[in-house]
Amino acid sequence: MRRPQRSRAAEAFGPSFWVFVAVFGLAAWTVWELKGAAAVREALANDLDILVFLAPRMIGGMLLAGLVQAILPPDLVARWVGEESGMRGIIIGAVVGALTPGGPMTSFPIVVAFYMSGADRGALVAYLTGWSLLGFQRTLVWELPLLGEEFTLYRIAAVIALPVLAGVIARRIPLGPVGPGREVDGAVAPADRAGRG
Amino acid sequence: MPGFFGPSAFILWGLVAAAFVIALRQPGARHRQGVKRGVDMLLVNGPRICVAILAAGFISELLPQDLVAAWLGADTGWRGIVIGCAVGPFFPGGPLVIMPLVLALFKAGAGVPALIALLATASTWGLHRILMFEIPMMGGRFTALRLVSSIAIPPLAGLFAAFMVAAFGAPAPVH
Repeated sequence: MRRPQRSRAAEAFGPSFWVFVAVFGLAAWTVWELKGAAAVREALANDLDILVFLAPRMIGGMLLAGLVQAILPPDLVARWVGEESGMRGIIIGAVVGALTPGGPMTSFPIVVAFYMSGADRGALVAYLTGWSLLGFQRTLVWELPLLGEEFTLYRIAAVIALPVLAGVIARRIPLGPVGPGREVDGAVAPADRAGRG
Repeated sequence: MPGFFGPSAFILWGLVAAAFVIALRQPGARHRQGVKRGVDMLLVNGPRICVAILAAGFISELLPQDLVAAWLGADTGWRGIVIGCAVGPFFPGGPLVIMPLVLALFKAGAGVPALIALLATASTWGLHRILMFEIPMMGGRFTALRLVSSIAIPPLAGLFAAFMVAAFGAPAPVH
């Protein structure tokens, strides 16, 4: 947390917040015009139900992400994966990816650290794919509560093998050296920023 | 709607407790640091999450149900999957934006295979993340390698989902 700290309030109520507010206002106004006040009330009530339902999961998910980040600093995780190679490296990359909480501000510094510690391209691709398709935090915080257990189960079953597949394919694609060319030190810095859920 | 504390909340809070204990037993006040990070994330993202959910609820009221069903519905077969794959990369932002919108589409009649394909492209081919994080941090060559390696993922995910729907029936929205 050595960055010059922009205040949390400034971050929370930054431009993207106001974009959401504008979209919400516009959508609510359109519903009012097209369907009347009763439809607005009904939509609001339904939204509030979802928010109440989501709140305990959201709070738990963010605490979990923070705790896991504190327990497992990126360079430690990178050392594990960097030492593995072959099919084992790909599978471990995919699993560690799925276990990485948080958004791209957490995962990309880890990928850079993997690269620095010598992980091969298959493991790097498997990691990023595992994180984006199977990230456990997103599933617990967002998918299970919003879309339901059955949907989540179907989706996980449909994609569970695919990060490994992507890693295997990546290893076979003939392409010269890949990786961050320069300024890797600068790139690692965002690791300390609070990631998106 | 399922209860306030369904299975997903129990699993989640169990993991929180486990992580807290692990952090507590490590040297150097890791638990305090972890909780602080979590609270920071919550404070930064909380307001946006609330407004995003509110907006998604109204958007789902406005989505033309017959159109959603015709383009992404369960009966559209491979066409819904292809459309899901095609629109996924253009969904901006993380789960904060994508998940409420997918819920809106689900409620408006989109089919499960199309939505699973959409989520898979949004995850693997999300342009916003590629431009903001991957190219700056990992370089263009690596990004190209990863994109080519994962090109088959969204259609495969949609296809597997379609098999499951055919075999076990389609999940319905819970909200």
